[in-house]
Amino acid sequence: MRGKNGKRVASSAREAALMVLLDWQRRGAWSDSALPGVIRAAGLSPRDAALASRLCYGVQQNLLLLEFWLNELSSVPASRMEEPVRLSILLGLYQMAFLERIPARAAVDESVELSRRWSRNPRSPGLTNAILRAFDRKRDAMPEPPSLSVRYSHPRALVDLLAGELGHDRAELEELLRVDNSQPPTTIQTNPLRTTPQELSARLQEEGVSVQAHAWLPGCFTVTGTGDLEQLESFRDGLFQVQDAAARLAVLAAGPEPGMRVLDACAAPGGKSFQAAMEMRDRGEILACDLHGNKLSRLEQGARRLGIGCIATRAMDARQFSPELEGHFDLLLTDVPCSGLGIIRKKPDIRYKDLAPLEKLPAIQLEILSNAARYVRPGGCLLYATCTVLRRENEAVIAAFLAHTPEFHLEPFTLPGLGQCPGQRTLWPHRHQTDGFFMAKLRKCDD
Amino acid sequence: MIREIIRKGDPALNKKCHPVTRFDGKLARLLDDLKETLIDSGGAGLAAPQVGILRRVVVVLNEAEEIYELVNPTIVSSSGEQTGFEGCLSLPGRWGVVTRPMTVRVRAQDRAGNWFEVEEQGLTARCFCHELDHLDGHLFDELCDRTYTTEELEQMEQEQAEEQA
Repeated sequence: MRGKNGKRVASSAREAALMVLLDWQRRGAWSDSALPGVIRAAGLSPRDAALASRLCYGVQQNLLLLEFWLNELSSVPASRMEEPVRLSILLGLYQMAFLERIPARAAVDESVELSRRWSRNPRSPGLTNAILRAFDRKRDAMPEPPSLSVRYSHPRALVDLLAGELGHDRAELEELLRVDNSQPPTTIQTNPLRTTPQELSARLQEEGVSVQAHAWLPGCFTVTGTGDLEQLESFRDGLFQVQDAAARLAVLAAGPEPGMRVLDACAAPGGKSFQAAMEMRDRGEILACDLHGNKLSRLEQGARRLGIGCIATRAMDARQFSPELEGHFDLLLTDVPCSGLGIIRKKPDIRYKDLAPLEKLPAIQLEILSNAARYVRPGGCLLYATCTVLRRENEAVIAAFLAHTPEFHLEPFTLPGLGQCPGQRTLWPHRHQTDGFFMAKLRKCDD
Repeated sequence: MIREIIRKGDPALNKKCHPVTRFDGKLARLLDDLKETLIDSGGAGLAAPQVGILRRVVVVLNEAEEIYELVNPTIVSSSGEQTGFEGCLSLPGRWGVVTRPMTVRVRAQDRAGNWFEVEEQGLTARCFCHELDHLDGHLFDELCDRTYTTEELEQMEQEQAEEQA
């Protein structure tokens, strides 16, 4: 028989991490459901669940560096090791190098035990032990990583791509790569339909959450010391939504106002629709569409939780023209599918994506943007947004669009913390402490 | 030695298996191979007919990661009920919802022929039922209305997780 996941149930935080990482390596793709699934099946305590999660993220964020160390220390080439053994060693190296509160001895012993349980080769535990002990001894004498790519575990092709975007400024590139490997605080936005920032802050502190007001974005807080935010009563009461400052800024740039008709063309999971509804004081109409109809019920639940009534949903392909919507909306929000290279600090696996298929994205993005443009009424506004920092998916798409669609022009906007922006703006994790994000505001001529 | 696991469609999976009468080196090798094949496959249990041997022999992994070797096993008592997803190494990538008893007590012989009894709950109890069905030529998909692919299962799990969130 096979169990539900075709796998055993993890007996510890480290084994849970190992199972999720194995799944990632075998599948060649990260699955967001894998980690919570394994944690639930294992019935881990909140503390162990947090450790399992940190281990998964940490190994992903430092994979190339950990593999570099492994190859320096091992007499057996890593490529010839059994996958679970290799990952057990990487998990041990990560804990020893990055998690100060875990004693080296515990990290070694736990990895040796994992090798024993997950390998059929009787020599694996000894190999794991030897490599990790050698690292403990030689830790300060380990050779320097040969490149930024290895030091910050971003594949070379990606480093080159990002370097191009930053004008080959090495210091700034290094800063971006470093921030990509940091743990960003969770950012939440006050729901003004339900509460005020002051009340929310007080309520969260009562619930044991440490809250810090965002430096320059009113109503925004960073929170730490929380387990699962969604378990809080204040969350269930809809007092806030979890959303990065960048996404909120994009909505502010678009300028939704009470009474407007808004279409969110790529809406799931719904954050921008919700933010627009809050700005509109829940007055007007928002049609939240997504290609994946099954994601809409979650969006509707979110709207109910936040006390938003002005959102309707519809399953729709943003590339297919729907004639009945033509010229109907005051405002279009198009947060298009993109390479996601702006959110590597939150989704560390993105960096290992094959870059070649991403080259097809600009054509799709232009298609969505051009189609969305037809739904805007004369005099209305169109916001184009991505969570990437590549010009080819951002400025270049806007330029191509404007070349074909002369009735639109870029409109300047003003944002808290950023001031006047000339119609389009890229945010960077290392410059703005937000997700990497691009927004462009396009106005349709009144005719 | 890791043996090849046969897939649904092979007639061996629909046959009733014969009791073991000789507790010899050949049985020991079969048990060792079943254990090795089970570990390699990442499964929770394996029956001899799944490697093409029509004998009443199964191995089952319990939650403490110990492997039970069960020769000529029968269920002597069961109680309770559990309903959940189940898959099979002979139907890779297919999953079905099957209702099984929550607690199962099995009487069996070890590789030397000594009789013993073992009682398990939950997943391991489910596995006892699943493997013993193999010995009578039955597969789990006879017990469910439909089966799901791994993708469908993951999709459902994700949706469930999102609904709980």
